[in-house]
Amino acid sequence: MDSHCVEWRRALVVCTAGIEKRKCNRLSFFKVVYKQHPGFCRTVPGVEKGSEDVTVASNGLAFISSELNGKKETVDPSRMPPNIRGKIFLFDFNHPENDVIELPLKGDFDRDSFYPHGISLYEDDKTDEKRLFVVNHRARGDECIEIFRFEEKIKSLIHLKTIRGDNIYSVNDVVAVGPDSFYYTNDGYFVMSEFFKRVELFADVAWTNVGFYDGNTDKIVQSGLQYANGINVSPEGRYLYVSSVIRGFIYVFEIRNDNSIEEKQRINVYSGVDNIEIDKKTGDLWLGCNAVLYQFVQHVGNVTIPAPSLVLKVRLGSKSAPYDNVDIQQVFMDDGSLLKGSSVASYYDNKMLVGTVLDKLGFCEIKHL
Amino acid sequence: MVLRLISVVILAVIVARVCNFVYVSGFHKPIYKQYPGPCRLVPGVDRGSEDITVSSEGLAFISSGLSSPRFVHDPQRHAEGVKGRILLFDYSHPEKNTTELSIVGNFSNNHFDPHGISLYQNPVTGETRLFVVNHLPDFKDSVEIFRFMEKEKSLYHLKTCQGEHMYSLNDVLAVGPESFYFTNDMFFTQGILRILELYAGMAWGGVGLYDVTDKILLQGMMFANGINMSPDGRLVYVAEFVRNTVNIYKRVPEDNSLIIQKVIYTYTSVDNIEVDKKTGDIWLGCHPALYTTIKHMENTTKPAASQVLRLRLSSNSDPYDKAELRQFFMDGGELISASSVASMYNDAMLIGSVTDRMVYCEIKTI
Repeated sequence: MDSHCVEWRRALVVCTAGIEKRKCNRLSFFKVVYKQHPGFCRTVPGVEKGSEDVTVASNGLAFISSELNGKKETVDPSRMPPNIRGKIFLFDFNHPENDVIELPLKGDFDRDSFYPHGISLYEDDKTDEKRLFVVNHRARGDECIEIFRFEEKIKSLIHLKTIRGDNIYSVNDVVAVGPDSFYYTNDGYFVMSEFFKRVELFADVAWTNVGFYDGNTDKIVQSGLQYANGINVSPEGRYLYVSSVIRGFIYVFEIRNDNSIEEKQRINVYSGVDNIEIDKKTGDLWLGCNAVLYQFVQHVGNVTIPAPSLVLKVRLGSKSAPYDNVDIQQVFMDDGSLLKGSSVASYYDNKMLVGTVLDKLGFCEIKHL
Repeated sequence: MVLRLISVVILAVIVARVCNFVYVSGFHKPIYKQYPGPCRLVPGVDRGSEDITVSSEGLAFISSGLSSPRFVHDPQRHAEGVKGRILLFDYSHPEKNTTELSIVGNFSNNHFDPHGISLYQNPVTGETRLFVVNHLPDFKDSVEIFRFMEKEKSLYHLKTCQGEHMYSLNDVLAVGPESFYFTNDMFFTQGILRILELYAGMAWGGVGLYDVTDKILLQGMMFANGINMSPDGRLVYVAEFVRNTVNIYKRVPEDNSLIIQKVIYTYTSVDNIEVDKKTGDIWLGCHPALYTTIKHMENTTKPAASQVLRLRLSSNSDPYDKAELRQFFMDGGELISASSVASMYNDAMLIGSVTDRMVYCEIKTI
């Protein structure tokens, strides 16, 4: 009866503290976690300190950012420099038994201040060039987007460009729409002050935004979001999807000819959504979620504390927004025994990689969708 | 002063009860779709499939047509005059779907309103007996015992069991040719008092034993619902619907009494319990958002959430030392509303509902 008593007291406290009810609901105090695996699942050896973002190329090569700089948040010291060294891993969905290899980073580039977060892949249809865009948290207040070219033969990333800007100050994720252009999310307004970051998070203010870099200048194209996190674009390039972790929303924006965006819809997925991946074939959204946010907050402070992982697939019912039918399907749920604190799910050919913020990388076969 | 203190205490108790019921009703739970493999409706079952039990040969018995006003409050259903039935489904030939078993013997079909069922297969004679909870008119209950005639595809009525302690029956668990455990879900059988008992969170349900005569073994349960037994007969599982628990009891062979061993909190309203004879896995038909089920009972056209969990007890020295809950099915009511039971056989599953359809799923996920 221990669990029951705890839950009962929790329910009572929340019911009688009206203003806190919203807050506690937002942190998912009442969320329930049952195990659910879509097939055989395992962790991928070699990825131990985070796999925050994963992106997969059309040929099944997946790129994984690893060892996110914990200094951006209040994090377990084992996930802060000098205990981490940012990496980009490569995983081949066509040969999952080969697991991952680390991609060397080459070029005129400061390797020792590389701490990757969100990533995005741009594949040029004409030249077949693959460019990887990486959010880099060099230090608190020093953020940039690194652009690499992927050299497949030598399995390396050649650094091309470092992009900084006045409006690039708290970047979480990035989506490339051209060889030198991308949309990105700033997930917070306060950058330097830890105290005000916490206040901003819990005070439920909507001061985060989406920015666009066109190759020369950066600008904010949408403000008023609350904890903007994952960002991705529909396969035909018409819609931009942005996740809000605390609200549990997916914002749907239409991209205009001048690269500005207009909000079309908000999809409530009732879970703390982190990164968004798009299945290029179907247009489905694959969401890495923090199923129980308060346990994730605990996990960030001590990575040995388990935090549940959740993967949702969102099928949009029509060709254009606002979508008249949105189908949300649960693909994966784990109580933290296999994966702690999932942040991304990347699907390819009935297989799936599930990444985490500070934990391992999961690989699943999907027997049924 | 004392009066004010008493008023405050009473108010606090009421507030606590209301908050707990709001919590149990599941308003806060998101319902995502999740299927364990390809799922489809079983044609011909659209007025309930409240309980399912499967024999060792893969024959599944389904009770259908539950319409007791104690559970189903939709006046449309009562006006329709739903007929209680027992259906048969062969897991070896799922494409044949269901056939209705005819009932023969000295038994009136006019008052057949089946609810929980249980199968007893005599290991010596090979006889198969079906025990059926029956809600008779005027809110009286009985357990009907039938013999399954496989060749004729019929049920031969043998006995009607009634007793003063069998007053609010929900489910039954056969342990002998004429002995069984039963659950009384609540104390009051009808009317406003029953509603008050439910919403006030009174724990007046219980478990009884019928063996020539009937007696109460356990009391103090919040809506005792499904009941079942481990394959070796050593453990008995009882679902407390409103408390969201599955209680595990050790069965004393001498007198069939039950000793509580463990309470497993499931965070969902557990209805019927089925046990996989091969593995001992416990399959739970659940209502993850109880408020949708309550609405559904008032108007059966409204969708209600459905959920199937598998409870696996660790096979250490104490088989219930560790418990793993895994979700295999969830639906917002698009495919099936208000699931009440999940019956598993080999790699397939039947999911039944209180008043809605029945679903057949192949199980592909682990």
